[in-house]
Amino acid sequence: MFIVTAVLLSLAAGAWLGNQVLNRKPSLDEISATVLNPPKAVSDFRLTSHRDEPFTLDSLKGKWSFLFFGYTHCPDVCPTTLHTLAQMDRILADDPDAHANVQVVFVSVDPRRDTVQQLRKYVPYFNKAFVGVTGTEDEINRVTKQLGVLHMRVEQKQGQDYLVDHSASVMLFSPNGALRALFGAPHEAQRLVADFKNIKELE
Amino acid sequence: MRKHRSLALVCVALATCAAQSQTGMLRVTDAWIRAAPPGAMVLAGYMTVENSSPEDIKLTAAESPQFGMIELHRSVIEDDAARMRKQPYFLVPARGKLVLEPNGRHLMMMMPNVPLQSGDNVTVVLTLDNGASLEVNAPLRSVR
Repeated sequence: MFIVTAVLLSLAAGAWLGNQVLNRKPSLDEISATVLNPPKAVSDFRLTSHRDEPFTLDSLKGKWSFLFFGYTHCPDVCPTTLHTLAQMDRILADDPDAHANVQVVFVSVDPRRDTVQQLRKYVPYFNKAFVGVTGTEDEINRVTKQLGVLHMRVEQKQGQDYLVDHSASVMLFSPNGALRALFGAPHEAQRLVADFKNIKELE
Repeated sequence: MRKHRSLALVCVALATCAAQSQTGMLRVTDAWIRAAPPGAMVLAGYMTVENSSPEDIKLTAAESPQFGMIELHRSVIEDDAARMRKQPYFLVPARGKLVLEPNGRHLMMMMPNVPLQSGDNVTVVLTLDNGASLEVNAPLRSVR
C-alpha cells in the first residue's frame, strides 16, 4: 500500500513538475536548477528537529532553505550530498550577504530508524548549523506528498535491513516558505552557489 | 601528492601473487572509505581496481576485520530517484578498470566493530572469482 501510494504520488508530482518546467522563463536559462514559476506554496506540516524542537512550515520562513531527503543508513548518496551541501555552505560563508539567512535541512524518509537521537549524532557531523528533521511516517508523508518527493522502502533478500529509494534532488525554499527551485543530482557545490545567487536575483 | 598517496595504498596479498600468474595483475589505487558520523552503521568504500591481464576478473565479495559485513552495491540516480542495489559481483574488465566512486558502485560496509574516524585505516580483503584474494588498506576520509 505504501509503495503503491508512493508511486502514484511520484507520477502526479512528475506531471505537476512537467507543467512547471514548461512555464519556465527563457531568461532563466543560465540557471541549471529548475526554477518554479510561480513558486509552489506548501501547506503546514509538523516534524521534529534533531534538537527535539518542532520543525514546521514556519521554520522555513525568513530564510532560504535547502532541503535534502534521505536516511542515515544510506552510505553513499546521502553523505556525498551532505558533504557537497557543507562545501556549498563554506563557499557561501565567504560572502556574508549570500550566507545570511540560509539553512540546510536534512529530512529523513526513514522514520523507523531515524529517531531524533540518531539525527542528533548524524547531521551536525557535516555542519554544526545543519538541521536534521524526522517524524512519524504520516508526518513525513505529509511533506513528501506535497512536494512529490519519492521515497520507497526496499526490503533486502537477506538480513533484517532494508534500503530506501529516495529523491536525489535538493529543494530550495524561499523565505516565504514556498518551493522555489529543484537542483538535480549529482550535486556540485560551486554550481549550487552560482544557481542560488542567480535565483535570489529573481526575487 | 595524490599519486604518491595512491601508490602507498597499493597492497597486494601473497595470495594474489599466485593469482597474477594465472589471471594477470590487479592493482588497487585511490582506496578510501567515507568517514561517517558517530553511530553510523553503514559506510561506503571506494577504490579503483585496474586489470592488466587479458581476462575479465570478477570481484565477488569483500570482508574486513573491522566490519561485520560488506556487500557490493551500486547507486543509480535517474529521474530524480537515488536507488541503491546489491550487486552479485563487480566486473574488472580485461585491460580495463573498475571504478568504485560516490554515487556509483561502492562497497557497502556494515556494522563497524569499533568506532572509526577520519585518519583511521581499514583493511579490506577482496575475493576474486578465480579464488584469489586481494588485501587493500583504505583510510577513512571525509572527502576524496
